[in-house]
Amino acid sequence: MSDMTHVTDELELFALDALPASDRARIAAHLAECPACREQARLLDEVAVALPGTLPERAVPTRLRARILATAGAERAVPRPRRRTAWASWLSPARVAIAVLGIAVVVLGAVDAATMRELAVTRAERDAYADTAVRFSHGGQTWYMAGRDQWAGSGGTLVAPSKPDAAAFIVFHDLRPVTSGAVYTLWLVDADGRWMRAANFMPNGEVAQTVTLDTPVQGFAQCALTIELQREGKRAGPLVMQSRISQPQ
Amino acid sequence: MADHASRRDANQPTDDALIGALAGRDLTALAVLYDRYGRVAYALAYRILGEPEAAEDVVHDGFLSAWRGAGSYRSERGNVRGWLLSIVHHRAVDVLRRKTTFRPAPLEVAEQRPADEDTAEEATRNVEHATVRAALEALPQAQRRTIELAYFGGYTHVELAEIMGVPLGTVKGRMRIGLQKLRRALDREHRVERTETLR
Repeated sequence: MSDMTHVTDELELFALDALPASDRARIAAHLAECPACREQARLLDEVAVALPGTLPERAVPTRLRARILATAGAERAVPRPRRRTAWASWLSPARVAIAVLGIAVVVLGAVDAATMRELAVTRAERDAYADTAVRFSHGGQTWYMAGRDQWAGSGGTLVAPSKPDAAAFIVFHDLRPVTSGAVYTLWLVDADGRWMRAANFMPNGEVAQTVTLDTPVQGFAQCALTIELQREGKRAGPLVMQSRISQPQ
Repeated sequence: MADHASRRDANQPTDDALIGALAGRDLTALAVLYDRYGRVAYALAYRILGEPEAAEDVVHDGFLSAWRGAGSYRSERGNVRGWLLSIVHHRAVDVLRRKTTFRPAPLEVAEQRPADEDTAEEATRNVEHATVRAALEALPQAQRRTIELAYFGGYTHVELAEIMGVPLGTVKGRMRIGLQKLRRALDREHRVERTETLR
């Protein structure tokens, strides 16, 4: 460490991101090796990251939260490669082959079926999240619904894609479970106050859940989510969340 | 520096606990973390880029980067808020520099570029960081300009020297002294916080 050239002269520039990429990489490499400079950099970073606190608050697009969760959900559904454990490395290929031959006949069918089922579920989950992330990337109009009363904290972003042939969908977040026999019902409400059932669905227990509407939202004034005991007929259950749908002029 | 988490309801998970959950691929932890820091992250990205769509993309990518790299977070190197904001800041500056390969401009233009339609009323809504704001405003104008143009404007020190018409050493000096003053202001605030906690 004694022959190391410290970078204290450049740490302010590093903290403020005022260095070109090549110099930044050089400083980062030094910090990884030098505790003294790293501590100096940490103190300066604390000051730098306090600067955003001087900015005024700004309305964040409501779709952003759902978009982040949808992309992360898509990634989560992709299985991670399993690590090779210490005991596994003790096993020689020959031992493994003998063991596998011994037990394969007995359990292969059952294990294979279970693995395939798990894989199918994982793939379906991944594909659903990935599909949502792609649909968000197409853009369009969005409206956010916030949970009311005891459903505060839940919410949903209604997306009417700009592509004419693409169906509208809602990405809900933090939906609560419903009692046995009940379902969430999504409604579209026209300007005359007529409620039309657009979808029934059960919460899937995930943080984010995408529900596709069978009906275009054009021509409707509001959308709403209720909890219903009947899967058809008029609205009877409590209102969970609601939003106006303003159409482009 | 005091973590926001220290002032939070004791029933809420700490930032460090959320990062641990994030490393375990817990989407709820990501949602809570976004609810805590999404707003300031977006304000930062918007200030640097000046475009809502670009700011949204940067915040999206920043949180996804945290989601993927939660295992690399080290609490001894800074708190979670700082870690997240550093990711967002670096990405925003990177996007800005890729869009504008050569940017030295007259100082008046440079000072206007990162500004938006902020008003004093909007700024005062955020009282949590009043100390930093007051300390920043108390700096001599040259030091404040240098820090703001570097951090919010995305200018490198070479570009700053050119647009401000001063040697590189002066740019560095202004940054160093300005940041030292901000550091002292933050330390004073934390001493006051600790004293009030002990009462």
